Amino acid sequence: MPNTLSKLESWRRFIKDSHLSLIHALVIALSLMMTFGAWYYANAQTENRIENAFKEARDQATGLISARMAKYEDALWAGVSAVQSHGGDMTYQQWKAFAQTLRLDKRYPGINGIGIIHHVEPGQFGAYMQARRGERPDFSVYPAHDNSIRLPISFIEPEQLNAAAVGLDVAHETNRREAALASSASGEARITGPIVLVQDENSTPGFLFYAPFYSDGRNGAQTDGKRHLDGMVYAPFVVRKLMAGLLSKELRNVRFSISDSGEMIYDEHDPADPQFDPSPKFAETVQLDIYGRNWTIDFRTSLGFRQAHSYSQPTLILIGGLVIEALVISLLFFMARSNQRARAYADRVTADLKAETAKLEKANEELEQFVYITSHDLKTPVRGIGSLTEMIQEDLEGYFNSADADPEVAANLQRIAERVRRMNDLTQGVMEYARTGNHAVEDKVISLPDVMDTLRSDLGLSASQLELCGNVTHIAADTFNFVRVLENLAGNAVKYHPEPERAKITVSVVEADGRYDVSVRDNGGGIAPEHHSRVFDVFQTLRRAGQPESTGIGLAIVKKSVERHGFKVTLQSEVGQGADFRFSWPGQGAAAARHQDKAA
Amino acid sequence: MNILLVEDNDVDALILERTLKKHSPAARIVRACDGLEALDILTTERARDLPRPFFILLDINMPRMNGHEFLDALRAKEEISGNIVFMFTTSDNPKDIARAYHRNVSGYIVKPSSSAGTKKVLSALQDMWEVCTPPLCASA
Repeated sequence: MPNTLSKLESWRRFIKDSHLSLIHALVIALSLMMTFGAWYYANAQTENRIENAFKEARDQATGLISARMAKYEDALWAGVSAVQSHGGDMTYQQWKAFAQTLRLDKRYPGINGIGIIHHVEPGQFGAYMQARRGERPDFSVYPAHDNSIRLPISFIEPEQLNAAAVGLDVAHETNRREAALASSASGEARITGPIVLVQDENSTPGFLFYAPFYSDGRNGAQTDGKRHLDGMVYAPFVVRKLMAGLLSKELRNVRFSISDSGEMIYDEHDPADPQFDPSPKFAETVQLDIYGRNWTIDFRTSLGFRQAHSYSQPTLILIGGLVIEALVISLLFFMARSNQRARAYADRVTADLKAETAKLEKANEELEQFVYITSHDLKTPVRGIGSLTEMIQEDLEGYFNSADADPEVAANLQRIAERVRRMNDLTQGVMEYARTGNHAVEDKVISLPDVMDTLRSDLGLSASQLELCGNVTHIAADTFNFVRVLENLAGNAVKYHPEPERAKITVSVVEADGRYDVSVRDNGGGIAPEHHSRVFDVFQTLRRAGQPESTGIGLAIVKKSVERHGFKVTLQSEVGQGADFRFSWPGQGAAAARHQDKAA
Repeated sequence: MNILLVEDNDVDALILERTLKKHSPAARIVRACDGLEALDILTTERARDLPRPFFILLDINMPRMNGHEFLDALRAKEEISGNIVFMFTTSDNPKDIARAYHRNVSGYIVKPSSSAGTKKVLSALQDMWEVCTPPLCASA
């Protein structure tokens, strides 16, 4: 088990190191499956095809044997017909003439001859012998036997090939006799079991083929009533010759042997045969019922079959598939590797960029911190100067009230006080500007009506002078800066209004597409379009002599606050038409996302 | 009204002293220039020179020991932890405010920028002085 586990582990690491994804593995697995599937299928198809070829060869051989035997049967029945047409018997001359018309050597290759066997009743043997000896003086019947039935071969053509058979009583021997009796009883053509023909010098297996004929021409497979067997037309066969005429062995890739009742009558399975296959690809035995006998035919494929049916297709498919597979795998590896390189490069660049950004952000932060600290530290001495100026003013009160007082002294002291106040405002403004963006105050959801109330009281406005409209009642994102923006815009609207007591400000907050669209509109003096681009710059003020003091930081804070969130402030205004400042602010979702960021 | 003023800025101290002299001539003021000196005044023989009871007016930005550190040290020392402290500083930083109240200051006063403002602060403190009963331990 641990071995399997460690193996799995090492595979897992291998896959991981090579950066092969699951999909890659899947592609490889699927294509491997397809390759093996195609190979398996092709293999099965080929096997099937080869088996069919074998079956075809087998059936062809079987069919040929049956067809050839049927043809011989026809010849026998032709003999029977000839006997019939000669009034139930034929003379030696007549048979010889008939046999010649059959042209055995041409039309019936494999047949050894065709002849007539007479059924000789015990009482008629003398007459029979007389008739035969009348044709051929040296005719004799042999061998003697104890069976009551006598079935001597009267004629056989061509005689010179079959001379030994003339006069042979086929009843003398079991195989010959039983087939003859079976043929006689059924009225059908029959063959004998394995015998050795007397005329075959090689003493190879053979058989006789009988077709019976009866008295009164009652031939054929009739079963009604008894009939008297007159004799049989017969043909002797040497199996070797029969098969030689069947289908040339050289043209076949299948060899076979035939046995009858366990006795081999024909055998091609010869180890000396150059085509002999000691372990044939296919082998099958077929039972063939043939004219009363049952032949067992043992088919085996030869070496030629192997050669003719050795298909390399499946192997080629497998090899081709595996080669493609190897290519795919290496391609995937290359892809994965270059992908990894690209990613590493991208990571490096990203890391560089991040470091650069972080550096810039830090520099920016430091700069803002510097500005903040500087302006903060300036506050104390400036306040000190202010306080000391006040002190001097207090101390010199007696002098100012005296008759010889120089009014310039009081005026100058007053100027110092004013400059100090202005300095205070500036440092305060710069501090606030610097603080915009890095305030650390938690965002608290604020209610817009509450903000309006506070603004009204801070700016001394009535409810109708500062109105809220729109469908939003609460702000959740960066509320500290949102309030400062509103304070600045509303404050400016009042501060620069030609008649502050008649100022009217409408704040509209509308939710749109996950953000809030805010508009702060006033009915003041308006701002000429040529100044619009400048009003948001730091320390820019359009103040003219006699107008309220301005640090020029308020709108810069507005701009910075809004742009921090990726939005823009726009101004629509004409001189005398009031001003409309518009900007967007992050919606509810943005605040939630940011909180999540923090939590993470 | 008795005040221990912990303040490093001479001008601020001067203004406070002047305004106090003008509006509450009976008030007595002892000044420490930073937290360490204030602790010294509270815990050594110099404590005898301190008229009791007294308010501590505490600035935040000071050298050596700033206001927060002083406050921590004060509240940590059993015998002086009960003193009444008002923050008196230029900082309006919410963090400073929260931290100070966390250390139980009685009030957080942002330094006014005008003498009128200073006068207002001092008169409020004077009112408090007259209305509130100081803790007993403060005079111990």
